[in-house]
Amino acid sequence: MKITLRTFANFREIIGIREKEISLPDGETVGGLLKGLCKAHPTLQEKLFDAGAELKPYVIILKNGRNIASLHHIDTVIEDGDVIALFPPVAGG
Amino acid sequence: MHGWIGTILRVNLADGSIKKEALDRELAKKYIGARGLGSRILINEIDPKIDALSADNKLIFAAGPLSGTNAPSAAHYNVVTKGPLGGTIAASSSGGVFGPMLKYAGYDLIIIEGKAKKPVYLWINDAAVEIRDAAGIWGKAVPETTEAIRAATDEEASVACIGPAGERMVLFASIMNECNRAAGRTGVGAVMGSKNLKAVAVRGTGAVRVADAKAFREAMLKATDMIKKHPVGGGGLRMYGTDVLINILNESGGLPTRNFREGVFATADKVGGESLTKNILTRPRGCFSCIISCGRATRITNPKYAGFGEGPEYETAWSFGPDCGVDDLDAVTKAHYLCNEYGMDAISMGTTIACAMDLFENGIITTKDTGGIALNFGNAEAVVEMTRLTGAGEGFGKKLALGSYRLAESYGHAEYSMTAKKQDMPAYDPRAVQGIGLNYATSNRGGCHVRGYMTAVEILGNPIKMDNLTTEGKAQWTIIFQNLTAALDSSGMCLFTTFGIGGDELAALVSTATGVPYSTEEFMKAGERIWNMERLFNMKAGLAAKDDTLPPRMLNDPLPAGPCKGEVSKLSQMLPEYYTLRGWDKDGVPTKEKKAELGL
Repeated sequence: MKITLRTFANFREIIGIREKEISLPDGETVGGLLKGLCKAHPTLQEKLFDAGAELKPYVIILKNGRNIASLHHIDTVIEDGDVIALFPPVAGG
Repeated sequence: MHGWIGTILRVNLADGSIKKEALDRELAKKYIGARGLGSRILINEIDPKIDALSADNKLIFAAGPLSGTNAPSAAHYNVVTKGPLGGTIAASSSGGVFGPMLKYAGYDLIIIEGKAKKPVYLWINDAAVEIRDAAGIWGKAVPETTEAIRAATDEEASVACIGPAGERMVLFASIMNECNRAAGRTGVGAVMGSKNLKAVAVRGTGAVRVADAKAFREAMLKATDMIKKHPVGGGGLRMYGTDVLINILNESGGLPTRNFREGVFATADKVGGESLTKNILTRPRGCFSCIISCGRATRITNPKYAGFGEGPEYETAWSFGPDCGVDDLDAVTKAHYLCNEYGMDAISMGTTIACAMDLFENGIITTKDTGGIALNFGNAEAVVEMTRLTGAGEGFGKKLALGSYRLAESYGHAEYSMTAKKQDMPAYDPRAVQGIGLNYATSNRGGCHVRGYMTAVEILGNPIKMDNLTTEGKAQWTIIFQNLTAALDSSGMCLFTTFGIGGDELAALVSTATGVPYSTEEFMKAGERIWNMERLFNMKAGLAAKDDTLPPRMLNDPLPAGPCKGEVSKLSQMLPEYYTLRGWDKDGVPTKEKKAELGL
């Protein structure tokens, strides 16, 4: 299946792309996608995960605009055509 | 006193009298300082029903007990008055160095009364205070005013002034200090203009004493460490500024677009923090004692808008950008610079233009009204020109100077104004971020995000993550944020410190600075007291439960596309619970028991 990956702030700098269509195996989860990204971009590992391999607090991951915290966290299953957006901890007002 | 200086400066512009009064310590304990204490004094002294732009209104510059201490980001002061935009209590916060400098000069608050017969400015040089003629600077923009007053007084003076917009009483005029820091919202600059007061310049050489230096230092170091270690307060804000929110709100489907018609803007990234950092940022900037540095020093090289200054922040990048259908970052930044120079709230300026564009595209106004300018969404040049016209008081700018509510109402279509209590809503669509809608509707100064920043939990997951589309728990969290912010605004700290610390740390800082032992509960209770006091003032001014609402578009028109397609604000599901949890009756009136509990 094909999905669209969008990256923001310093995740964009690390991964080096703003938006990209990528191929994933059917049934892939958000956690699986992130592991693949960390393999390709090792500096991403410490930005995304803590020492216990848990997703760091305040990292924002959206599937089609919905925060995975409101879905199944990193076990959220990705489907064909999904848009996955990755944001590091940021804020404003 | 400790934390507090213990002195109020009272200046009557009508008769020229200048008095120094002792601060009532018991009142200070109950209302902390800045927003809370300033509002308490204002409410004690004015009739809530007065015309905000009459000489009967008062204008209070109020620092908090932490302003000017070495607590992290303790730079803030509040301008408190009855606001002309919404007729509500108005407290507008600003950073820079003005608040600390006021304390170093020996004052917690300045109360300005009456109206001067001719333009004047106030010069405070420690104990020496004088009212000076401002004829030579009336009409000048903020940078020129600041420069001229510093040249005439002291190069180290902090200058809080109005620009031409405040002089002409544009209803969303701001008060600017250090040229680029704004007491931006509610039209406090128009009140200053109505008093013929061009500026307050202050230089102080004293210090702020704290009650327990050792304990205060420990509290300060702990708070500083927590903010620095927090991934947001300690890094994200400095790197990308607040404008980094553009893409998050856009991806979440809650970035108000084309006057809140939609929640997604296809080219939002062009005006987001990543683009700002890459294209126009020269360096981050911070206020007095700031360890966050969210401010953006920027430069536009595009010859069409060439210049330099500060900004845009997220709100401005949105109001002149997606809300007007514009993705030209240079134009957006130029409009922001103009707001700083003329002294105008950049949120209400942009949203008023967006409202005018909506009226134009619906045929309610035409080029006959706009002076020949086609006000279509996406017309970046028109956005810049309309901002200039408003600041300069020319052409259609005279209508825009009324703000979006009065503009749309004057054409018989108030429903095109995206306001709550006549103040423009900021950059979070209440249909996509349900709790922020409840906050807008109940905010004591109308459409405002910094009275109860529900976006933190609903979008940013800080300190917890709540679903942005549900209503469960939103009333309780809105109240917690509103009370915490009321107490924090009263302390003199910057709101962004709460991206690293909370009520425990703030209470410890205020306690050790003042010597008043606030528990976290007492600190939060002070915030609740301030909130209820503001509410009671508004009700005496004529506002009621019917005003706790949102524009019809938010309540009736579903978002047409994006992740929140089909959503409307579920305000009616949240508001009754909010009243109940507040201890108010079904009409939103604080009960006798609640008032007794809070000592009101």
